Amino acid sequence: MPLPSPSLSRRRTPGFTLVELLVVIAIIGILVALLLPAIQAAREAARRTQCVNNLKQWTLAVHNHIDSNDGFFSIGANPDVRRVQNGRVYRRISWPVELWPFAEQMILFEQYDFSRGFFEAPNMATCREHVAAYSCPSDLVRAEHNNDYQYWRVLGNYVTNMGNTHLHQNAADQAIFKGAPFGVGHVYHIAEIRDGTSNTLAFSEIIIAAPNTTNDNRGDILNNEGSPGFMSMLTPNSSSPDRLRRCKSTAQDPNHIDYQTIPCVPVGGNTEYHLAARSRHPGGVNVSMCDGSVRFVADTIAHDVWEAAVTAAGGEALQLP
Amino acid sequence: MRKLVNLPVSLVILTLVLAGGCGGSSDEITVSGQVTIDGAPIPTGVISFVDADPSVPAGGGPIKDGRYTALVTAGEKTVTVLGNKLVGQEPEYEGVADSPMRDKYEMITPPEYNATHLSPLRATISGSRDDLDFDLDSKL
Repeated sequence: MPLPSPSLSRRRTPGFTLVELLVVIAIIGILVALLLPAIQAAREAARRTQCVNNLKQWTLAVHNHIDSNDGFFSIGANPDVRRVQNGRVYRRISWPVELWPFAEQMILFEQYDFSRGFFEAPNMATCREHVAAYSCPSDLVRAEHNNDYQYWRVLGNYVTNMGNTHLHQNAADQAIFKGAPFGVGHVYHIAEIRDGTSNTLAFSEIIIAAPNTTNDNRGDILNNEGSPGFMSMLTPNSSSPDRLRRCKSTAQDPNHIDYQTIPCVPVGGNTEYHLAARSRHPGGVNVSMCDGSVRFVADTIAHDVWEAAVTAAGGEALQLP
Repeated sequence: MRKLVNLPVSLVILTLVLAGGCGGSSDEITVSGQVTIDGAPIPTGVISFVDADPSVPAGGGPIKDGRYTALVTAGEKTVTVLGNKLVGQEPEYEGVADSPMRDKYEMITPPEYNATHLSPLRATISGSRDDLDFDLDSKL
């Protein structure tokens, strides 16, 4: 039996050539390059799912509240001692408190004293308890004020729909206000959602602007004068500034990177106060409708369509895309 | 084997092209200028440009020491202005003796200028500029 000639075996040595190796490395490189962004996107998708779940839970809590309160929505916020449409008297308060019993936070609700403001004892303690459903994981979890602030509270991402004008109505607003499910110093009835619950927003989200400080109102959802709600004067993630009582200084500077995501200008009164829905999700914000459904609204939404979705009795024919 | 030599090179080029992707671009224009009331600069505030077409989102920006910078889309705009001045400090929790304080701002522009359906200010935006000035009348 003839042995293979030594010259032939030198020509076809077992193993890879350099070119073959490079091809394999290039292919692996391409696959990894495709996969890595996908992993990041999958993580953001998971956080967004959690964010949407919380939004849905709060909206279902509102429904359970409506069912056990003669058809009245829970209060959006209240600025002083005031008797509102459901016959109850409220002190300074914001929306999460009345929804606690419907979001499995019965203990917090039982500790809360409705005859005192949210910043007074014993209510301050309940406002320092982290509730997982306050936070959208795409932004921040377990955010709070700086703890050396005497009245520090936990911060959150969810805001109620407070209509197409300002936080408090001014004289000019009253002519153009077209209804909302939540308000400051008002409680609305489900029958006042005349555009239909599936055409009216209930909740959306905001970005917590300045955790570990008290420099900015956005995120202070437990304060009636913090960020209890959003309005439709600006579209989601607008490049125009929110108007708050307190703004982080970098968010006021058009040359600073903070201005690109959380632009803001300080104003002197709650009748000039308004803020847009904002999020860290690429391209838009999550919203829930009063019928309990949850959707994603793109930043590029037409302004009139956004306003139609925010107003509860505007009579518009426009639908969210 | 000769043919294979070009394969990694072309794959690398293809990857670079794909990675380049497409960048997003906003169609908002930067405009800036002076905002004064009776000729005096407005210390702090906000300016908005609301389009005649209700589907177009409002643009705007902050006013600082009489100058504003705003991001606006092109078109016919109604301009609203809210001018404030810092007048001191006020308690954050009214009726609380040791309440923390915050800056107190007072509105110095007539409220009509801050309502889209009442403001008399108009502007046509067609391109970036830095001299789009507005002078407000305190007795509107």
